[in-house]
Amino acid sequence: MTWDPTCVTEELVVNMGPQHPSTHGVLRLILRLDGERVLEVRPDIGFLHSSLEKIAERLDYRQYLPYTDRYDYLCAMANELAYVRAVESLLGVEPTPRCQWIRVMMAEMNRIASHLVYYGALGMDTGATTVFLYCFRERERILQLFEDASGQRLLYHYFRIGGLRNDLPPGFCEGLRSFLDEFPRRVAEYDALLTRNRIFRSRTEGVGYLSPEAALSYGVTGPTLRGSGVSYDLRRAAPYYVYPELEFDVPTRPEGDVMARHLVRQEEMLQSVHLLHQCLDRLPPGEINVKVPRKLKPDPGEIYVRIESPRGELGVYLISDGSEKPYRLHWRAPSFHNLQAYPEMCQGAYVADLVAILGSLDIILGDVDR
Amino acid sequence: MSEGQEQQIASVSSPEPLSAELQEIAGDLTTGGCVRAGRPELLTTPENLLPLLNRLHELPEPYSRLTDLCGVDWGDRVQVVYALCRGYGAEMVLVKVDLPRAQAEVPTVTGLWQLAFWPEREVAEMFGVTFVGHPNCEHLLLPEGFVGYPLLKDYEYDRSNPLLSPDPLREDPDAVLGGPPSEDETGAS
Repeated sequence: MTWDPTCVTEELVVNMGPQHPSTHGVLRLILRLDGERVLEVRPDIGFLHSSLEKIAERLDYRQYLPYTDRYDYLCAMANELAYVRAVESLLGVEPTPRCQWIRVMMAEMNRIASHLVYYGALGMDTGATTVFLYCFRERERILQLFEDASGQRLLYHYFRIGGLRNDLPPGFCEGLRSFLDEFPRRVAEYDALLTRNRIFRSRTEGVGYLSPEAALSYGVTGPTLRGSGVSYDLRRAAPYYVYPELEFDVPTRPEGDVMARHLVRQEEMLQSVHLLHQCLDRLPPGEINVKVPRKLKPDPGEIYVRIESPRGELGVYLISDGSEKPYRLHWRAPSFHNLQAYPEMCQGAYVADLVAILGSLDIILGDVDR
Repeated sequence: MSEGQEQQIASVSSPEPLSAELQEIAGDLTTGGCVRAGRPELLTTPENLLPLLNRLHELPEPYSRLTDLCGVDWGDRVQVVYALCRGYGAEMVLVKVDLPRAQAEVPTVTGLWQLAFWPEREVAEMFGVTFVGHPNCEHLLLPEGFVGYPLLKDYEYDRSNPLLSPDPLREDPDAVLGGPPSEDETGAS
């Protein structure tokens, strides 16, 4: 038998997921393959749909707050921040300066914790198990601080409409400072362990390219967008709370591949450390709560609030009809829009690359399906 | 800060008129508009939606980025809301289209932004809106064959819907598994 170069292998349709360890939740990918090469990827989502938007219409403004933690469980503080900001804007309430500083601090700590999960998970996805354990060791220290402050490790319910559940506990600032002093050394360790690893580099460099034009069209935001060379961060573009007073860089990488997105997140953790140092230095004393009525009845109206969550642009569209319950609440979930660009990044990739590309998107399926 | 605070209270619930710039750009294609909490809103009709979006897209400083798309049920009508940003900046405009409940049809914007593919499918399955020209408007989050539009205000949980029917194993395990275990099998005292 002679070799025929025009010969193509038979196309194969494979289901990856919904239960698959590297899909970070319940995501089904329908793959059309030619050998190892991917011809088409179709994400099938909705397995974790929890009708969060409908639930909001049945609860009053305060009762809904714990739900905001649960939909994107790795950055509960960011979700709380977005929701609380939306309700406070509707009510016309401005939180106290100390409250604003603490909220920003918590959001930045949560950003580090969330990026650490990403970091470890991408290591696992590409076959490096050790770095996952390292990352979780450091993440545990942040979660311990969160537990000291709010009583919870993951789903905090720490922000309240008009303020916070309680002020920072004694020893919190010292604990945070000792973590911040140590953490940059740890990041250097991860960098040596994972980012400069030759195998990891060959798995991630030049893989999963996303052009800035495609990112614009798909509405990709967050570190995924900044990995394509677009310097867009809502903390800078549309600053809220005390961010205008803080000094920080918005890391970007022009390459647009998995490695670029990875490096952006690695640098963002260090920027968050820088931000947290400034917060600790400048944290003002004072009240943390402003008085809000017992029954919250915002005047009829609507508000669209956006913040920069660890995954990108998190939007809350909240409509009030003057009653105790929101008339309509819509979440602009960053993972949902980022995942939509996934097939674009997978063009011409190999099956093994799919896992690395998905890891670099840092999606949370609770956030995708809501 | 009390001044700014009062202003904020006023602006969220009581809209102000549109800026002259937006009025000039979009005036003939809109049926109304206002500025709420510093953010312009434009109300338009399904026929004028695409021309309006195109015009906003072709400004010297274009509203080039669609960031969000969602639906709102106002009882007699369903509203589709498009959130557009001026590039990667802070400026944002909300474009709203009112659709009658009986005939909720609006042209798709998937030709302009690829972002719209999934959110339009979501609005279609949750509010019963038809996006004319959408290449694939299957259910996105809901299972195939799901009946009803859950985010409409008058949606009621329908037990006769086979996809919502109770799990027979949980409702009546004996019928499925063939009776309760006899006493000596369980070993209970």
